[in-house]
Amino acid sequence: MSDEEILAVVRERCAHILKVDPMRVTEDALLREDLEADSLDLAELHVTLEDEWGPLPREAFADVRTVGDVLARARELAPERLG
Amino acid sequence: MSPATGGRAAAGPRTRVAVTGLGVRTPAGANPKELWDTLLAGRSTARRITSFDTEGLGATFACEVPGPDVESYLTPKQASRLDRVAQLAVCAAGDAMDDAGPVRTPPERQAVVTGSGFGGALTYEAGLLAGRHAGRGNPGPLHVPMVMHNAMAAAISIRHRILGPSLSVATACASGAHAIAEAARLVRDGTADLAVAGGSEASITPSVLLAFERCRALSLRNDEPERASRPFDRDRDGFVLAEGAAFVVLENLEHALARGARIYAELSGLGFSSDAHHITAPPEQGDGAARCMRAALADAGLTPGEIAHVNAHGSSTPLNDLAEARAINQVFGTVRVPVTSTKGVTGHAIGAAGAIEAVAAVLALNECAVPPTANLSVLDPQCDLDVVAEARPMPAAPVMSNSFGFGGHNATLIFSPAPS
Repeated sequence: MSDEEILAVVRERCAHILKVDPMRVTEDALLREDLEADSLDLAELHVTLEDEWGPLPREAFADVRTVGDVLARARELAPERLG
Repeated sequence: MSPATGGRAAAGPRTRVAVTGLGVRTPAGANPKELWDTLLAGRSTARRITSFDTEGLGATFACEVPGPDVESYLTPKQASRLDRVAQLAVCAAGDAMDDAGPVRTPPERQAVVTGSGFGGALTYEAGLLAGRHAGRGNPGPLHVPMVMHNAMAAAISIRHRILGPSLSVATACASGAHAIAEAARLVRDGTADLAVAGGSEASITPSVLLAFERCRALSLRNDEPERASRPFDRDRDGFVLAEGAAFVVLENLEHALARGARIYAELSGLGFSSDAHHITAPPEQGDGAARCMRAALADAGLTPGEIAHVNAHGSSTPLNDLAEARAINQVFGTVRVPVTSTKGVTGHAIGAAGAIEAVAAVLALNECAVPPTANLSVLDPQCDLDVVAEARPMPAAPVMSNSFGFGGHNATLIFSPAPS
C-alpha cells in the first residue's frame, strides 16, 4: 500500500467519522481541539482501520493528538499487514 | 414528612398535571395538525415496504415515517450517534418542548421519561448481521449507546439540558402510555415540575417483521395494505407494524397557569394493571384491561358516564379487540361510549403507540370530535361497542386512552378539559 493510499484512507475515514469536510483533515489538525473528536470517535477510527488493515494493537491510537500522528502510526502498521 | 422538604408538595390536594406541549413524528403526520387531519379523514398509511426485500417474511407492508428531518435538530455527528428510534424521539420531543413555549422551570426540576418496545432495533440488527464472523456480529463502538433503550431519554436530556430524573420504561405496546403516566407521577409527587414524556419505535426491520409474523400477530392482507389495519372489524386478521414517535410536555398545573401557558388538557387519570395471565394473549373477558380502566376512572374521580370517548388500544388483532370490547362493556355497562382506534390509520407503532394515541386523545378533546376507525366496514358482532366509523362531534369532556402490551402490561390515561 502506497503512502498516498494510506493518506487517502485515513483522511476519508476521519472525515466520515468526525463528520467534517475532508479539506479540514490536514496533517497538523488537532483531533480533539480542531476536529472535535472524542474517545468514541477514536474507538470508531480504530475499528474502521482494522476493517481495512486487519487487527491493530489495542493502544495503536491511544496517544494520537493530530491527524499526522494517526498517519504516522498507520504508516508503521499498515505495511506490516499488507506487505 | 416535613412539608418543606425538597420542593415536595405538602399534604393536601393532589398536584394536578397539565399537558402544555405536543410533538409527533408518525406515518400520519409530522406535526399534530397533520396527524389530526389524517385521522379525521380516516386515511390508512400502510404501504408496501420498499426499503428492504420482504420475500419470505410473510407481511410485505407497514406504516413508515418519511424522513425525519433530523438536520433541523441535530448536527450530522450527533445524528450519526443515534439510532433512528432516538432520532424520531428527539424530533418529536423537541417539537413538544417548542410547542410548550418558554418555560421558567429550572433544569433541575425538569424530567424526561421515554418508552420503547425495541430500542435501537435497526442498529442492533445491522450490528449482528454485519461481518464475517461465525457466532457473532460486528458491532462498532457506537453499538451499545445506540441500541440501549434509554438512548432516547439520554439524547433528550442532553439536547434540552434536563437535569432532573431521566429514564426509560419498557412495557412493549404500552411503553408510550406508561412513560407518560410515570412522568405524570413524577410531577404529582413533586419530584419534577415539568416532564417531557412519550414513546418512540423504529423497528420495521426484516427480522422484527418476520418475528411478529411468526407469532401470528400481523395482518397478511398483502394485496390490500391500506385495508389491512381494521380494528374491531369482522374481517381483521392482525396488526400492521408501524414506526413513529410522540411526546407531550407535562407541567405542574399551577405553574402552567402561572406562566400563562396554553393548556391542551389536564392529565387527570392514570390507571395501571397486569393481566398476570399469558405472555401474549389477553384473558378472554379482558379482566386486566377492565381493572386498568376502572383504576384510571377512580384516580380521576370520574364515572363511566362522564367519559366522552375511548381511544382504544384497538390493535386489529382478533384477540385484542375482542377482549378489549368485553372489557369496555364490563366497565361502561349500559353507557354506550363512542370508541375509536387510531391504529386503522397509523398501524401499530408498538412502544410509540400509547403516546401517539395520547396525543390523538388530547387533540380529540380540543377539536371536540371523535376521529373514525379506518377500515371499519362490518363491526365484529362479538365486539358489542359503539365503534365510530365516521368522524363524530363530541362534547368537551374527558377522553380515555387505553394501551395494552405483550406481557399483560396495561395502562390507561384520562385527559380532561383544561381548567378555565
